[in-house]
Parts: sequence; structure tokens; C-alpha cells
Amino acid sequence: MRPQLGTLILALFLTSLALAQPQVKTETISAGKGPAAQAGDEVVISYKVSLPDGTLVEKTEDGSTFKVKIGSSEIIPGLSQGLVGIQREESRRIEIPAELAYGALGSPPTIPPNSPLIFEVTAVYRSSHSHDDGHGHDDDGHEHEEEPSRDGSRGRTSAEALDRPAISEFLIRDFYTKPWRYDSAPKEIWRKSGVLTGLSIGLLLIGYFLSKRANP
Amino acid sequence: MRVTLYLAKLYLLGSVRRQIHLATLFMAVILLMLPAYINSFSLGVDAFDRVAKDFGLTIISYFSVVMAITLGSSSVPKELETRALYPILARPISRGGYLTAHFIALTVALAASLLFLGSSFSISMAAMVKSFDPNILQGTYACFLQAIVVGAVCLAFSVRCSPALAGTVGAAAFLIGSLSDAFIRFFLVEDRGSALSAALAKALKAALPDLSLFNIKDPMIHGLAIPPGYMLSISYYAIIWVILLLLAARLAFQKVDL
Repeated sequence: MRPQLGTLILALFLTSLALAQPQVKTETISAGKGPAAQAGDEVVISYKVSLPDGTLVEKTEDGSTFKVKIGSSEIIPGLSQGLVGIQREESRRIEIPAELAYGALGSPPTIPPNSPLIFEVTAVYRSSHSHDDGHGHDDDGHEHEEEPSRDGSRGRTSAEALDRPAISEFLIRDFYTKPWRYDSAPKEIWRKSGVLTGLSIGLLLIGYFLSKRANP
Repeated sequence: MRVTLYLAKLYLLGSVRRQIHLATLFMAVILLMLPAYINSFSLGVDAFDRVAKDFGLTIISYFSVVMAITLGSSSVPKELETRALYPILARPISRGGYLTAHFIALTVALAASLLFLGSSFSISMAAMVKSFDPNILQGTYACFLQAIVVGAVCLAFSVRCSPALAGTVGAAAFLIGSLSDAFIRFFLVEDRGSALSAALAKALKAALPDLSLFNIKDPMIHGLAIPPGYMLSISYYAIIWVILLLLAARLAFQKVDL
């Protein structure tokens, strides 16, 4: 009796924790080829972002592309999650919940508060890390010209193009993304607390039935 | 309930006999002197206020966790070892009531100690900057919530483990629960490239109480307003974790063959 009960409580606990996390939904529109992109890879994409009601927020111009590093702090966390596993020439639809996009603040005037985002992304190619000569290589080994950074320099000569952001950037981001910055944080805490309340009631009932069984 | 409260009072007096209040007094003296000490190094920099508050609240936070681990992990095993538990449980009190009494004593001891420390530090800061900052007490309250959750973790494990193991679990819960997302992302993912360690840290963090929610030091130091709704939600979050841990401890304690 005891092991089953323990397993049941653990399963309930883990399921409720998993359900409490906001999830990104991805759907492949057209399949790609080549290796799948992983966290830390740079992917060159063209994209279209819209709100759930279909309002267009932003899109890349025809023929132009945008290079992103999966897991980088320069893009919203939901996009990083949605790009994991994407292959060259694959098109994906990525539904990102507000918590993993712009949260309760939104990004006025285009993105309202608490708004999920829908990305339609096409991976043009997956690029490896650039060399000091300012050239990168795509996943077929082809060399391509790197886009110059905003100050006109190439490759790692620019501070903006450093592979890893400085720790200060993370700490500053950490500070500015702390929960009190968002009205949705208490909502998230209440949701977690609700799950814990359910578990507590479950434990209370289990305790009651066990004591009832021990002392009928 | 009356018996539980009576027992809680006895345990509280027991913690006084263990001279916990002397440690509190010692910390209070440090906190009273801290602003003046930091001011002597500030060389006229305007950041004195923020640095002193940062140090002060960090000291209060760590002290409260150490106190919670010390009291939470040792009280039940000590009574089991000295067999003082048997005459208590022979009276009309359930095992759940017995654990609740221990927890109430721990909570009151922590509350009294932190109120004293928070007040000492507020007064000391007010004397230096000539204005009273109520946010220090708000930060101390968040430290208190964090400490009662850590104390409940220790108490829950101490019914089946040794004090050393229960204390270690409590300390681990504090360390993992306090990990910030920035730490996981910078040190584990970006710097070390260890996605596995990051995934493990995130999974552990999800299964344990999220103590980073109680860290309101940064906005408090920088004079940012913390919404009352946030304080209310973290209070409920702490209370529900305590209830959950006490219920789990009660279930585990029912099975202990005395």
C-alpha cells in the first residue's frame, strides 16, 4: 500500500507542476532538411508575427532575413523554445503564450498586455559560429558573408557581436525581469499556489482515510 | 488545540533556553553598527544608503535561514533521542498536533527574532539618513516567509532523518530554491554550455519551493514600489507550502514506530 501511495502522490505532484508551466506550441507547415537546430545555434530566419486575432505585428521584408541565436537573451524566450529542432527551409507556426513573450506589459502600441503571439517562421539556413575573417558557414558547409553589425564592423570585432553577453547584461536583465515588474507575476504565483492547495487537500484526505483505516 | 498551543509555548521557552535569543542580540548589534561602518567607507558616494540596506537585508535573510534550519531540524529528533516524546504523546494530542506545536514555536521564535532585527536595522538606518524607511520591514517580512518555508522543510524531513540530514536538505532547498533564472542561464547555459545541468537545476527548482519569489531586496533598495498584491500572493504561497510540508510530515510521522 505504502509504495503505491507514494508513487501516486509523486505523480500527482509532478503532473500538477508540469501543468502549471506555460507551454509553446509548434506546428510544422512545411518540412525542411538537414540537422535540427539546438540551443546555442544561430539560425537565419524570415518571419511574420501576428496577434491571435490575426493583426499583423511585424514581418521581415521580402528577401530580407534576421539572424537569431537560440537561447540568446536578445529574443523572447518563447521564440527560442519554438526554434529548437527547426531544420533548413522548414516553415513553422509557433504559438507563444504571453508569459514567454512580452508578459503583462506588452510592447505598446503594437502588442497589447497579456497577449500571446503567433510566429510563422522559415529557417533560411542554420549558421555555425563565425570565423575571424568575418565569414560564417551554413549547415552544408557553404561560406556566406556575415551581415555587418550596426557600427559597420564584422564578426567579433564589435562588442555587439560577442558570442556571450556579459554577466552584467544577465544581471541587469534579471533585475528588470523580476516578477514585481509584471502584474502577471502574482497571477502566476496564485496559479502555483492553487496547485499546491489541491495537493494539500489531497494529502489531507489521504491522512484522513489512513487514520480511519487504522482506527475504524 | 489548547494542548497544541500549550506545547508550542513550552517549545518556545525551550528555544529560549537554547540561547537562540543571544544569537539574535549579537546579530542586532551588528546591524545597528552596520550603517555607520559602511558610511565610513562610502567616501561621500551617494550609494551609501543602498549599500547599507543591501548588506543589512542580506544578513537578516541568511541569519533567518540559519536559525530556521537549526531550530527546524533538531527539535523533533532531539525529543526522540531523549525519549521526551513518549510522555507527551501519551497525553491527548495527535502526532499532527505535536508537529504543529513544534512549527508554531519555530514560527514565533523566528517572528520575534526578525521583528527585533528589522526594527534595529530600521532605527539604525533612520538615524543615519534622517528618515524612516518602512520598506526595510517589508523586506524583513519577506525574509520571514522564506525562513518559515525552509524551517518547514527541515521539520518535515527531521521526523524520519537525522538532524544533520534534515538540515542539509533544508540548506539544499534554500540554495536551489533561491537560484535566479539569470544564474541558470548565464553560468550553466551560456558560460558552461551545460544544457543538462540547466535542465536539472530547473527541474529541481520547479519541484521545490521557489524562494527567489521572496527576494524583494533589489526593488526595495532602489526605492521601487512592490505591489501589495505581490506581497499577498507570496504570503499565501509560503503558507500553502508550509501546510503541504506539515501534512506530508504528519503522514510520515504516523508511520514512525515509537
